[in-house]
Amino acid sequence: MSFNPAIITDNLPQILAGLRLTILLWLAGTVAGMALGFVLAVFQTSRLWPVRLLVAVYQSIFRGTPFLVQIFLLYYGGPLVGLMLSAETAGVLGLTLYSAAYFTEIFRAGFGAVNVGQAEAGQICGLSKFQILRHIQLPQMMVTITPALVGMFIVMSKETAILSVMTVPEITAVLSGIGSATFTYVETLLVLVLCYWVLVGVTTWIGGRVERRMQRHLLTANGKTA
Amino acid sequence: MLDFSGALNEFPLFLRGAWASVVYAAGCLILGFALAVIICRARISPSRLASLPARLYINMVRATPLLVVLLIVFNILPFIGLELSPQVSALLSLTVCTAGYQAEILRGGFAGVAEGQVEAGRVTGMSERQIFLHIKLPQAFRLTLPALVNEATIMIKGTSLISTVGILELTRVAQNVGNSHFRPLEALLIAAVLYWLMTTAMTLAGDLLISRYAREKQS
Repeated sequence: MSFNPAIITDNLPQILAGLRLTILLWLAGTVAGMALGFVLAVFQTSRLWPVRLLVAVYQSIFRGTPFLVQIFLLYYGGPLVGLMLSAETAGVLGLTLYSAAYFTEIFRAGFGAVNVGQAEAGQICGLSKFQILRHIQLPQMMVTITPALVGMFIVMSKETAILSVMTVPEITAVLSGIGSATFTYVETLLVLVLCYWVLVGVTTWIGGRVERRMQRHLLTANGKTA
Repeated sequence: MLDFSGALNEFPLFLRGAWASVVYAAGCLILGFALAVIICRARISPSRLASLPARLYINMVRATPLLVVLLIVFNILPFIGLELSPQVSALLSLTVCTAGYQAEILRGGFAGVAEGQVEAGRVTGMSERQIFLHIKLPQAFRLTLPALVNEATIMIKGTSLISTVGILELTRVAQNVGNSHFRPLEALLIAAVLYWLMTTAMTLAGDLLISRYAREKQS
């Protein structure tokens, strides 16, 4: 078994471009998924049962089928119904739709964690639905759901690896490509694993800081935690 | 627009593929659980010599995509002289992965077992091994069942990734049938429906077991 670090340094620009693309696709897909998940969770509080049913069906489909099959459907099946997407676009769209189903569940739990009486109190004080959401429900639920949101970001950082299967030149595709072309699997896969560990490590660290920042919403008027 | 006739002619192939997926999922979940119990026991041990490697394993596995684990097992193991069949390699990759997650899940369960019960076991003369097997483990399992069921559905879906290393399971069947009939959309939709049935059945079975345990606890 030989170890040749030159294989990494020689291909560094390509590898960094792959890492950059991974981070871009991951953030774009997950942030959009979080936004869509939030909207769906708000829909789920609707009084109209068909709206709630639609959201539940959406969640069941996207959580009940593999991400790989979902992006295959988008990328290879899409053209048959006139949906032509580049691999990257299909990738971001796939990440968005998939993560949204999980984010909906997280936000739903968040809404459940905020006492209904508070929303009712807001209503009586004449706050609009949006004001209640923005000033009463959202700040409080963020404290409880931040760990779950961070967890979802971590899950999604690893899901991006699956985009390599449909020729997206992200970090897994780049490094396994170099590895199989030059038979240097040990060097390339070691670097690949390190990239994901750093990505997950950094996300965990940032998540911890955001969690502490969110705790401030629990401070009472005299500065003590409730 | 959609034409399922070609793909549905191959329906027995889909069923065989789905069965293979179920076998890989069940295999990795059971083997993974056994491995997770060992890792978890080491993780919660007071000895740092045991807990540190277990902690390292859990954190490493949980930060690595399953696809990358597959790449490592399929490309590096033969490199260091360990020749395994593709089927065994695939099962090994899935098991390594789920064991890390299950160990972390179980850790929460063991923390939930009341210390008084362990002391009661000691007083009645049970060995540490008996306490672990008969008091701690069954309760940790029950306490963490919802999370374990969730992990099971994740792994059912995760088996689709072994199609990328040439294992013939549901996703691979769908790709093959889709390519041979030039209608990938229909073939993939059939696969999606079958996956949905498998994960939904798993969730329902889990819910049933969870409510049964809850009733037992009440009575």
